[in-house]
Formats: sequence, structure tokens, C-alpha cells
Amino acid sequence: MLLDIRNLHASINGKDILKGFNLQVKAGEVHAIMGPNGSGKSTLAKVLAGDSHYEVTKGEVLFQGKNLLDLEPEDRALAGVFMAFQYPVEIPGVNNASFLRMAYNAKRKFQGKEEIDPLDFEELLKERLKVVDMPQDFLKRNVNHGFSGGEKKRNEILQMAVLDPTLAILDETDSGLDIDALREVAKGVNILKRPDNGIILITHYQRLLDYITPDHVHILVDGRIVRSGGKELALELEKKGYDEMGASTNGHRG
Amino acid sequence: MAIGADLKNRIYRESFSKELLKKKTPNADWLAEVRRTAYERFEKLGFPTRELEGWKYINLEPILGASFAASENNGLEFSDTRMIEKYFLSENEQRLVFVNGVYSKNLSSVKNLPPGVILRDLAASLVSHGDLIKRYFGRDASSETNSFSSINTFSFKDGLFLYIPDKVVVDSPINIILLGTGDNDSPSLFYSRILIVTGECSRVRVIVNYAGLPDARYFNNTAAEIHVGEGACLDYFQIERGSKNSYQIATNRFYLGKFSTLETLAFTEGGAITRNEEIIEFGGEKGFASLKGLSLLNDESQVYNHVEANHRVPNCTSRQFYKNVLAGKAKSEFNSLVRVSRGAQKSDSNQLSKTLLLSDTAESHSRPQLKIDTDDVSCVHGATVGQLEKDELFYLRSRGLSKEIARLVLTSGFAEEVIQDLEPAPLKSHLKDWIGEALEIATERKI
Amino acid sequence: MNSKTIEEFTSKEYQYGFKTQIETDTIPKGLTEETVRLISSRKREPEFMLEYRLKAFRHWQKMKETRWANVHHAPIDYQNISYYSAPKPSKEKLKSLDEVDPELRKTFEKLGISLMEQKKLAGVAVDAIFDSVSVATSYKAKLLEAGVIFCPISEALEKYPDLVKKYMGSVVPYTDNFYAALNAAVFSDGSFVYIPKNTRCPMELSTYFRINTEESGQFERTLIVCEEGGYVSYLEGCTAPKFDTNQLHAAVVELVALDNAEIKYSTVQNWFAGDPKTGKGGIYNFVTKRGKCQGKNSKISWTQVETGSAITWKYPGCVLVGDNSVGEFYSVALTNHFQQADTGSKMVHLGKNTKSTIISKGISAGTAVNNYRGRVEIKKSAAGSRNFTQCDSLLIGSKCSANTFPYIDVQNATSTVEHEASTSKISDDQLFYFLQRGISGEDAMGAIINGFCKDVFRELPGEFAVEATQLLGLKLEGSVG
Repeated sequence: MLLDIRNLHASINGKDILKGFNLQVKAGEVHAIMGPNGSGKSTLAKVLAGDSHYEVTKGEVLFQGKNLLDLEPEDRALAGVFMAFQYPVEIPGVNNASFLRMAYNAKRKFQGKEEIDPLDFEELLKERLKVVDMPQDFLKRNVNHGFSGGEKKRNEILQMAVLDPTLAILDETDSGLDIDALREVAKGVNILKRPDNGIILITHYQRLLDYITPDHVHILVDGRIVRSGGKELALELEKKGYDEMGASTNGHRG
Repeated sequence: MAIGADLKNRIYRESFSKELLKKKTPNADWLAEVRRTAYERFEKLGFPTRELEGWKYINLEPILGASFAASENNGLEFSDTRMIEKYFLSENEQRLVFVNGVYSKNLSSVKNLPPGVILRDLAASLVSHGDLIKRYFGRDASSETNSFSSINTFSFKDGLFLYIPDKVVVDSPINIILLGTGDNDSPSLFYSRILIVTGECSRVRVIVNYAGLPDARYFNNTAAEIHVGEGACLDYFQIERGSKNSYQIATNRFYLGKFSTLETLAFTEGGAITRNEEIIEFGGEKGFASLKGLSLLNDESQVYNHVEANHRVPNCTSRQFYKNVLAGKAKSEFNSLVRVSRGAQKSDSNQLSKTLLLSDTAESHSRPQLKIDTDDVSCVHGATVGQLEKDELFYLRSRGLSKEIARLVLTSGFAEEVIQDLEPAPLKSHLKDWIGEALEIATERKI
Repeated sequence: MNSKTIEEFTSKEYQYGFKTQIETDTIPKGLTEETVRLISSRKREPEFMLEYRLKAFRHWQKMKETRWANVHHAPIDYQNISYYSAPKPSKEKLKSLDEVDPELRKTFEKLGISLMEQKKLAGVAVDAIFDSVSVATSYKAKLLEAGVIFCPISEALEKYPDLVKKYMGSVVPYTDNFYAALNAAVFSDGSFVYIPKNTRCPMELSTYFRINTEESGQFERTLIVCEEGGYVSYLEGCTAPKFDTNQLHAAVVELVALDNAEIKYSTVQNWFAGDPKTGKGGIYNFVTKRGKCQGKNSKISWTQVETGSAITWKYPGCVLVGDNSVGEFYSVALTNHFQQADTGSKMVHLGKNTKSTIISKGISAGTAVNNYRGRVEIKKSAAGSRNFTQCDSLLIGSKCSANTFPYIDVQNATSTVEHEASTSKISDDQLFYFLQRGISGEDAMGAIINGFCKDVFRELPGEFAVEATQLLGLKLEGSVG
């Protein structure tokens, strides 16, 4: 079991958002979490990443059998959890390549390995760039500074490619992207999918799932999962809309 | 009165003396006249007090109350290049070194200048190019508002003269090193006078390093008058890394011709008290001035940056971008004024200052001011003072960087943004190293 | 820029210029200790009040007039002003508006302040000051029921002297500045408001007053105290007649908010600005307004629309003492013709997690000078505090000036200050867009300027918002150009 979330309750500024969220993710699986605005999708991602704006009021999260909620954000990352932000922050003054190398070395250090040589890292980066199909000069720019929406999202996937996480949570990675950018991002994710890692896709629309095939689809309404199923569930949701799905599944638990 | 008596007496006795006026130059008369004007101006102004808007926060007592030693022969025998090597940029640079205000031929190196370019110590230039200098020197001596600049005018013994003829491009950087070497028992007081005149469509890059021996105690009073010709480009970078006991006061006046471009940088790291006054006068339309500053202060360092962009004619653009990182008990002031005169239509100005405070004992004062007398303009300014962005910290931590390292990365990024596009490359590289060192100490953490 | 439009806009006459012919009880000009004693005795004040006035007067004598670099005026002869003027009342007190002197009532009606109709219908209690003495106070009973005290200071000194003594001068001491000292010595009257614990004032309070007699200065003193958990919204608005000699107005307003209390103070000001062609006449308005957020979680907000005065010198501000307290300042200042304004706000952060917001919109036209002078001080003790300041200037015509002088001083590492400012004009493109859609230049100006000011207008209490919009329109019809 890669990730085991049990009865998770979380709030922000005193307002309850997650109200008994449950999810199990096994290695090699892709889970899609879909929900209307305000259902708690982003809160889930941020709580798992350790954003201090949110308070966990109940429940537990086990990552590879260990308590995730006890760890600081950087320790969660080092343990292998990666979140691709919905709105990646811009950091002028910090070079993209340097930043990636620092993060990569932090992980190596954690694993007891030696820091990577800058030249070797350059080679590694060149390889990884192919995953997101971005040009070299991407690396010369500052982290997300002056990037278009699509470029920011691809930069997140590039980071994922470099850090090779065990669990990747993609928070509305498809939002704000046109079809081409969406395809590129999906392609990247598919390349990185492996039998020994897990992916959680948080999304509002089903179209991302045309490109990344989920093993499980869950519908999140008002802070908890109301229904779960396979890929067809997403298509059904697309046809009927959240209201009908939410209304018709009242009382059902996923 | 006790305060300032010593400095004032020094000025009477040492500087404004007949000996100085009798210097062997064929043009002594006109220069003596300018000096006399400057002296009268100083008599009228006196030393600045806290009541003056531009001197509200600075405590001048350490400077005015110090007993400076006679700086006539201080450091003339100084020849240890190791202390100044760190300021060298490249093999082909044009280097002039001054020790306590005295030109050191041994340490300097000027060669292969394009024809027509004059790059010499000012004292020698007054002999060889007196008439040329006379046309530009001391233009605003009678209306000077900064007493220290007036003092420099009648007290300086040497400095720099740089003249670039029309259409000449100087590829090699002009690297000036002003070194202070006094000590606690005999702190030195010296002046440097800089006059730069560039011709139409010329290009040159000037770097002035304010340096000092470790722990040296001195007062470096530098005044510069810089005329940028029509269509010319000039970079003027001040690298101030004085010792922790140093006082540095620089007053720079820039006169921009039409279509000219000016880029300045005031980089301050350490020093006890540093005050930079930069005044830009747009003399012709379509001038462009980009003024940047970065100060990294710790312990009890203080920097006072005064920047003025005077849009007196239409269609000029000015940009100000200043950042401060303060730790320990450091103090900074950013006092900026953009003045748009009546009729200066289509003036475009943008001021931005950002300060990062790393300790609760540091202090920041910002005064971004606008005086606008005409309507068809775009004038914007912004100032922020605070700490690192929580979102940015979280982003880095979510990628495995510890809290401390994330802080250091963001603080370096904050500082380095100012020098992002800086050239020449060796200078940028030096600055990056110095920024890294300073911030590691300030945040007490190594990357 | 359509120059014809500019001409038309910049020429409307001040419509409130006239004088009421009424007998007034004016003391001879000049300011000596004797004058101070005379004022205090005329008002029959308790001993402590006279003592306070005398201390302030003696201090004032030692002070120098405040001169800011950017405001120029002829020297004020403080001895050439009468410091007290009141209409002779037929009785000592007026129980209702019906008892108000009919001449006076006519004055109020001309001013458009039909105390009877408008304010009564709107449920607004009005404390109208005619020159230096309050003439009518309505709705006292209703407020008293809620425990709210709203009366002239003179009455408060009589009925609640301990309350006045406790708070007067606690926010603006007479040592604060030259005009504050002068005011403390010779203040004539003003409003006193007291909100008891956990009480929400049942109606919005307002005070209208105007200067009438030539050569008489106006020195109001307002004190508002809001106890724990209380809330009050206070409106201040004024008009004045046209005169040839400049008239001095040096008021002091003090606000005190205790734990969890909130005070909202709004001003719509319409003093005579001086002859548009010569710049003569007009009011000199030097006001010290300050709020002290004494208690935790307290809040004080200042909202003002300033469109008059020959010279305005005023920096409403807050001292944020209590942790988590909030200070706000929203202002639109319009200067036209020969007006000069030096206004802004001062926010001093002392408590932890305190927050302040300053939104200042300045509009200059004609040959006017509009200065924003703001000060944000975050002291060492104010950990985790925030300030956001936005000051924008709109210049109309090429002969006016807009200056911005902010001071930002921060002394701790956990606070954040953000300051933005911009200067611009109404562009020809914008105007043309409106004209092309059939909207007159005048209306276009009005709409654009309203848009420029909307962040501030939004903060005005209901009826004032309407009045402000109309006032701006009026002034801008006469000034926008």
C-alpha cells in the first residue's frame, strides 16, 4: 500500500473542507479525483504536501506505512511525495537549473549518496527535458518567471522527472491549458508512470483522462468521496454533470 | 562646538590653503575660482543637519567627530596587490588605482586605448588637458546642495579624468580602485574627483571600487561629474566594499544628452556609513536611465541611498530598482525622487524598492517620492519591506529543500535579481560570490 | 485634450456662497490668556477644562508654526482673529428644532440641510453647529435609550466631566503640533460621542457646521469613545460661505476604540476654496485627526472626500496599540484652481499583528497642487504587522501638480509593507471612446473620475456615498478640465 488516507478532516481559517476523506493507492496505480469547485480537491493536495495554511483536525495519512502528517514539507518530499502545484509560484532571481540540481542533491544526500557533479547533472537534465519536450533555454530562465501557463505546468512535470517521486499528486495540472499543452503534459506523465510509483490526478474536467488512463476514478463532493469506479465513471460524470451525480449518489460512499 | 570642529579645522588648515591653490598647473586661475565658489557655498550650507530632508536619518557624528590624520603621504608606499586583486576584472582592463586619494602609478595599468581617448589621473590631466576640463568641470558648484560635494570641490588633490571622443567604443572596462588604508590611530581622510565626458554615440563601462584594507578606518569623499553625449551609452557601477570602519560619501551628477543611455549600479556591502547621492539630469529628449542598487548589510552597517531623476524635458525614461537585505543591526534608507517639470510630457518613470529584513534589530526607511508638474506622464512607484514570501518558501520545501536552505536560496535569489543582466561577466561573477558569502554569514548557513 | 471641454469644466461658481445676517456675540480679536479665560467662562466650564486650556495656550506660545515645504500661504496673523462667536440665543437651550432661530433655519435650508425632512426621514441625528455653539441637537432621547451619548462637548463637560477628562487629549495631546495646541486652548465646541460596552449605535451620527462670521476662526474639538464591543459610524460634512479674507480652521478629532470596538468616521468636505480667478478668500483647513486603537481587535477607519479649502493640511491616522487592531484610511482629495493640499495618513504600528490600509486618490486640476504625505511606521514591538498603501494621482490639464511623499519606516523582521503609487491623466483615447458612444465630455469625465475614486466611495456610509458622488460631480463640473 503506497498511500492510505483514513477519515481525513482538514480545515482552513476555521472552515472545514475535508470531512472524512478516504483513499487507498497501491503502487502502479493511477487514481483520478474529480469534483466541483469547493469540493476540497486542492485542499487534499496541499494537506498531503504539508501546506501550513491548512489544519488537519482528524484522521491519518500513511505513506508506505509511515505517518505522513508528522513530517515537515521537505521531509515528505525527500520521502518521495511530489505535488505538482496548480499555480506554480514564480521565483525571479533563482535559476531553474540550479534549483533542480539543489533539489536533486537534497534527495541524494537523504539517500546517503554523493552529490552529483554539475556536468553530470547537465547531462541528466538534457535527458529529462525530453520528457516534457522543452528546449534547452528553459533551464537558463528563472523558476517560472515569465513562463506561460503551459510552460509552468511543464516545468512541474520536469521537476517530477528529475526527482523521480514515489507518489505524485498532480493538482489540476490541466487547468488553463490548451489541447496541445495538455497533450504534452499528459505525455510526460505517461512516460514517468511505473509499476513502483503511484499517481493521483486531481482534475475538474474529464478530458485529461482521455490522455492519462486512470485505474480508479473517485468523485469528491463536499469534502468526501461519494462515488468510485473505473474510467467509465468519468464519462458518466461528463454526461450528467456534478449536480446529478452528487444528488443521485447522496448517502453512497466510495 | 565640539562636533565637526575637528573636520572643519582640518578643512581650513589642510585643504583650503594657499599651497593647494598654488599647484603647478597652467590653469590654476579658473580652478581656484571654482574652488573658491565651492568654499563659499560650503560656508553658506555648513554641515548637513537632521533637519534637512535628505539627511534625516544619518548620524554624521562619527564622521564629523573623528580626528583624521594628514593624508598627504598616506599609503604612497603601499604596493601590496593582493589586497586589491579581488577587484581586478580581466587582463585587458584599464586600471587606475588610488591609495588614500593618491594616484599609484605602480598599481595602475592603462594601455591600448582607442585613439583620442583620454584616461588619466585628474591632477596630470589638469596640466595636459586643462582647457578641455575647464569646459565641463564644476558646472553646478554655485548651486550645490550637498556640502560634502562642495568640500570635495575645494579639497580634492586628484582623481580621474576620462574623455571619449565621438563615435568611439571602448571595449575594455575602466576599472578604478579607490583604496583606503588608515587605521584607528590615524584614520585617513581623502578625496577623489571624477570627471567623465563621453562623445556622441560612444560607449564605455566604468567601474569604481570603494575598497579598504580589512578594519581600516577612513573617510572617502568622492564626487563625480559625468556627461553622457548624445546617443552615447555609459555604464557606471560603484562597488562599495569598504571595511567595517569606513565612511564613504559619494555624490554623483549625471548630465544626459538626448538619446543617451545610462546604467548605474550602487552595490554596497559592509562599511560603517555609506551615503550615495545620484542625481540624473535629462538634458535632451529620449534619454534613458536605469538606476539599480543592491545593499547587503550586517552588524552595524548603514547605507543611505539618494536617487533623483529629473525629467526636465519630454520623452525621457527613468527606471529605479533598489534592493536591500539587512541583518544584525543594519540600517538602510532609500530616498528617491522623480521630478517631472512642467511641460515634460510623456515622461515615463518607474521606481521600485524592496527590502528584506532578516533580523528584528535592523531598520529600513523608504521614501519613494514623486513631484509631478505635468499631466501627460506615466509615473509609477512601489516599495515593499518585509520578509520572504511564504508561498515561495513552501514551494522550495516541497521539493526537498530544508527550511534554512530554502531561506538562503530565496534570499540569494532576491539579491541576485538586481545583477541578473550585468556585464562584464567577471564583475557579475565576483558579485555573485560576494553576495553568496555575505548572505551565508547573514543567514548563518552554507548552501 | 479637448480644450473647450476644459474651459467649461473649470468655471462653475461656488453655489453656497452667501452670509446670514444675524446678530452674533463676538469677542474682540486677539489671543491672550485673557481670551482663553473668557472663552472658558462664557461656556461655564469646569475648572479642569480651564486649566487644560491655559496649559495648552502657554505651550502654544512657545511653539513655531508648522511649515511644510510644499504649501505656501501668506503668514497668518493669529492676533487678527476673533476666537469666539455665537448667535445670541433667545433661550439658554433649544429642546427641538422648532425652537431654532428662523433666520438660522433659513440658512440651513439654503444649504440644503433641511434638518427636519432629510435627516429625520433618514433617521440621522444631527448636531448642527452654527459657528461656535451648537444650535440644535435632535434624537438625543433615542440615543440615550441605547445608552449612547451624543451631544456637544460643552454639554458633555457639564453632564459627564469625568468621561471627557479621561479621554480628551489622550490621542492628540496639546504638545502634538502647533494647531493642536491652539485648538486645545481656544476650542469652541464640537461633538462628544460615547458608546457603551457591546452597544451598536442605532443610527449614523452626523454633524454639519459652517463658518459664518468674517475673521472668526473655527476650532472644533470632537471626541468619540467606543467602549468594548461597541460600534459607531460618524459622518462629518460642512459647507462655508464666500469671503475675501482667508479663514482659519484648526480642528482636532480624537477617536478611542477599546477591545473589539469599531469606529467609522466619514467626512465630506466642501469648504470654500478661494476665488477661482484670483485665489483669494477660501478656508485654511489645518486639522489634526487621530484614532487610537487602544484595545485588542479594535478597528478605526477614516473615509474622506475633500473638495474644498484654499489650503488643506490634514493627516488622519491611527495609532495601533492593541494586538490585531486595524486602521484604515480611504480618501479622495480634489484640488482645483489655486488650491493647495498637503494631506495623507499616518499609521503607527505598536501592537502585534496589526494591520493598516491606506487608499488615497488625488485629483488635481487648474493650477492646483496636491501633495500626498503618508507615514507608515512599524515599530519593533509590532511583530507580524501589515500595511498596504496605494496612492494614485490623476492630473487634469497641464498646469497642475501632484506630489507624493511617503515615509516607510520598518523596525522588525516579521512585518510586511507594500506601497504602490501611480500618476496619470485622463487620456484622449478614453475621452474619445465616451464621446464616440454619444456621451458628453462632461459626463465622460464624471464617469472616469468616479471609476478612479470608486475604491474610496465604496467605503462611505449609504447616504454619504450619494452626496459625495454629487459633490464631486458638482466640483468637477466646475473643475474637471
